[in-house]
Amino acid sequence: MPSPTPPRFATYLLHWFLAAHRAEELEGDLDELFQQRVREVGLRKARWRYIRDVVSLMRPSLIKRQTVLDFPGPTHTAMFRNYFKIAWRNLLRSPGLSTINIVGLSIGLAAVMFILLFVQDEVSYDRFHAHGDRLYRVVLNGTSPEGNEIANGATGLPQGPAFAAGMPEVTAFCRVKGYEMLVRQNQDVEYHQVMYVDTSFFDLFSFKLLAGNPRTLLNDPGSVVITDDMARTYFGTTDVLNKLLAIDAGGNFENYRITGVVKTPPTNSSLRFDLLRPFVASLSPDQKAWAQSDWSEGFLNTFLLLKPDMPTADLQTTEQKMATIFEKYAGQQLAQLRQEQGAFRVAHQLQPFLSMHLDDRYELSNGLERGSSSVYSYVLSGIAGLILLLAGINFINLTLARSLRRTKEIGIRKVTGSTRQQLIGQFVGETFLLTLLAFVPALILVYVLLPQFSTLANKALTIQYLLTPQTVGLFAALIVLVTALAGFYPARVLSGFNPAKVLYGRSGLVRSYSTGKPLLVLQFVIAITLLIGTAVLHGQFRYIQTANVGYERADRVRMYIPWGRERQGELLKQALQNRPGIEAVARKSGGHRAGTYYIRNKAVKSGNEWVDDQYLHFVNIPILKGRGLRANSPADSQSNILVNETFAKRFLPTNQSAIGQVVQRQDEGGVRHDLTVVGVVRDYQYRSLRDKPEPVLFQLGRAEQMNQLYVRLNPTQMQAGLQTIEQAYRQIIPFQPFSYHFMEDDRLNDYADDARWKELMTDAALLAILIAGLGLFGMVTLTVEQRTKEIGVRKVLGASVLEINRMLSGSFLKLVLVAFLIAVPIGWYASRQWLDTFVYRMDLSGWLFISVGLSVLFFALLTVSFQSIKAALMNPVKSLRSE
Amino acid sequence: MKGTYLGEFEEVVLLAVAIRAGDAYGAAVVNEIEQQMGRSVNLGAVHSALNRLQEKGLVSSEMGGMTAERGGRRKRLYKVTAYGQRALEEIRQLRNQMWDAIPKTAWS
Repeated sequence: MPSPTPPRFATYLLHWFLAAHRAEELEGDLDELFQQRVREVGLRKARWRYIRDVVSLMRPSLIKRQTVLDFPGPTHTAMFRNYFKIAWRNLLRSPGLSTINIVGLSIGLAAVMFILLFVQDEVSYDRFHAHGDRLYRVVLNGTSPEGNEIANGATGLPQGPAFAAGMPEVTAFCRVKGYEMLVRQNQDVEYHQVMYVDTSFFDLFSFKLLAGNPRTLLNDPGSVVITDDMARTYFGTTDVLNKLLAIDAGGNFENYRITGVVKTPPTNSSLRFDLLRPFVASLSPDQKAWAQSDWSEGFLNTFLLLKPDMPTADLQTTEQKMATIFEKYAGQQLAQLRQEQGAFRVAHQLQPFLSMHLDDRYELSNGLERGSSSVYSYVLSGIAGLILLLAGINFINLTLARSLRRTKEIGIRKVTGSTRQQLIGQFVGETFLLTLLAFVPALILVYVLLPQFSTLANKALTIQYLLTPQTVGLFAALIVLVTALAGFYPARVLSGFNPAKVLYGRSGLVRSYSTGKPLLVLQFVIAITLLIGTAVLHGQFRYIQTANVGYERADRVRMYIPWGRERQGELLKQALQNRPGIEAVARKSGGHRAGTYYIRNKAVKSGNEWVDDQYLHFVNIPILKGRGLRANSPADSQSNILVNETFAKRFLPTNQSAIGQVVQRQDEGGVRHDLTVVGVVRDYQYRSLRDKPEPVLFQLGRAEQMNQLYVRLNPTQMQAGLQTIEQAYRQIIPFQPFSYHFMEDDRLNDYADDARWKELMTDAALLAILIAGLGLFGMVTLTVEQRTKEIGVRKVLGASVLEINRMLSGSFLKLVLVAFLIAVPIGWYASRQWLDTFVYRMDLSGWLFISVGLSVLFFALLTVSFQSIKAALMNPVKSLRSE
Repeated sequence: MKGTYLGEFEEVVLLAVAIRAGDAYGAAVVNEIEQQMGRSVNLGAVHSALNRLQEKGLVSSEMGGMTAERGGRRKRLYKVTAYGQRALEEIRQLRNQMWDAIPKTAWS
């Protein structure tokens, strides 16, 4: 008779949930009880009970797997757990010092993280093009007749086609130039970056085309390709093919047909645009005629796509071929120029597209995003490194000074068989943990301050940069690096203690920590040097703002008269004259123009300003010799000119009066026209304060040559004046954005880069002094702690609070003083170097150094006193009682 | 502290292990309790109580040898430890002590 079986599904259930090692006995028990119950109460009830028992066995204590018992864990985790425990206890034992350590490290890490982001963004420029490594920009390099280096990134019309036709290794060329142009929608107008490009644009560059045919979209001169952002702004959709967009064409708006939609270029692209237009559409008929064969003009960027897998050595051959082609087409022109200007050497070179952004030899202009210099990356990395170094020194100092308390622990560990390697491992591991701990606030700090840093660095850094595998890898490397730098030295020192000595003697017998002082001095040297740099930057900026530049700027605003509306500018000027709140009006050409002139057949370069008869008077530039230009005199508007002092000194014969001298101008047809000097004006700062005064020549300009309108406002009626201007502007020049700039701000804009450096340096210096101060605070705290008894005894014996305070502070302030004495020459030298790049510069007086020194000393005194006064005021009864 | 408190059911299980000395395994304990108390108990409840007792150190266990019945499966045999014995004695002593303290007049 087969024995009765329990319900099969219940057995399955049992096997499914039961821990393997319990299955046998439980199943055995179940089976035994089942058989027994079959006999006692019958099959049906037995089966029922069986199910109930199985369900009752489903409890965690029985389901639990038994891995731990079968394979006990590796025994050395016990030691690791001990390390963790001890590290944690040490951290909690002196929360103040631990906080100093972690805060300092966090700040240092955050600084480095910022700089990593900055540098990463810098080197990521233009990396997204599929053929990036085959792309080159044609640049000009050579030596001028005066022996100066010529480096020019701009080329003209013929280079691209000629090089592509004459060299088989050039697969394609593309000429690119861009301007800000007005785009109009209904009554609103706004400036957008328009780039004129050859039809090959999408063969060279990998901008993502969302709609349109890349082969044909730029063939029609009336076509325009817009970015998806533009499409959304102007049409609310990216489905915009064949729609019309109105763009300013110099005085009137013309409608162009949209033939393509391209994804908005990323922010780390040198080519950034809102609209693309066919290159041919940018050339006026007459310009086409003369510029087609003119190799000497430079007003656009020529890019070449070379054939794949070109060895770098072949680039030189290519450049030689370029020289041959240059000579073939432009030889005559070059010979003539050499005759006029003296011997010069000039050749075309290939600038790798990928390194373009960081190559500051060749300017990125004519529509390209401004380049950067690798110098910025280096300087910033240096500053971040210094801040991290300061934090690291804090870490080393506090760890070592605190370690005197841990001598017994180290002694016991050694006696119980710890090797030196194990101890080093333990202490480096502790540093690693602390660095990890510091990493969290650092990340939060970076996250919170990223927008501010982006503005400061003039970049569009986003938090996404933090999440790329590259960044994460860099940060991991950073943690390891910090651990190694800050952890290894203390670990070596600590693990070197002799157990017999530290266990036998009292802790006071262990030699005191002596490396701390030089490290503290080093910290303050760095901090003070940065502070001196900051003070000099601020001083120079104040100097720039207040420097006498030779002309008046106060209360004067400047307006840009848009392209094509220069004649309306004249109407505006007349409309504004004698209106309430407006004192004077004048016009001038914009930008810094320069031209080549001939004096006795010798070519000279000079700045060239087209002004109206009011301008010089308007900005108070006096005429030293001769007379000014008069608007109603035909000779003055045709052929009479003014020159500045530098022009007269440098180019005109000094033995006779400058008045009446003849300067020749050559027109595009090669015909020369005589210009007669009728007056000499006083020098004024024509360009930035970095430069010496340059020769400048003034001519009366025609209305269409002057796109700047200047207005002097009555300082008491500033608002009314500005309103009057805006009303008149809107009436006379409709459909144009209105904006104005105060001349005083213009000067600061010239130094926007320096201003950013000023802010960065200020922040860095403040951080440095903060971290150094934290370190000092920590060291004083420890000293006071170790000398509690001594202070108590001294007080009992009659020392006053002041004396004890002086004793404790004195030694630390001495260190700061030493640091100051070391920092002054370094700071002086560095400041000198920077100031030498300015022709106009502040005096580097001793007062600057003294005031920096005094404020640092005061800061240090404050830091030290906080602890030392507390110690000196302590009741000796308390400090001496415990033993 | 773990192990000082013994629940009622745990006490019953511990006593059953002691009664079946030498042959105390899950099913045997179930049988013993059912016989002694006259009520049915779940195997799961017994095993989890045995587990707890073992964690507290009141019983120890080892796998027994092969058996002819129950499909040749082995049994886990439980044994009361010295500590378990002392715990039982303490409980008993406590009970006796309390019984003795009941005044004669309490029941009338």
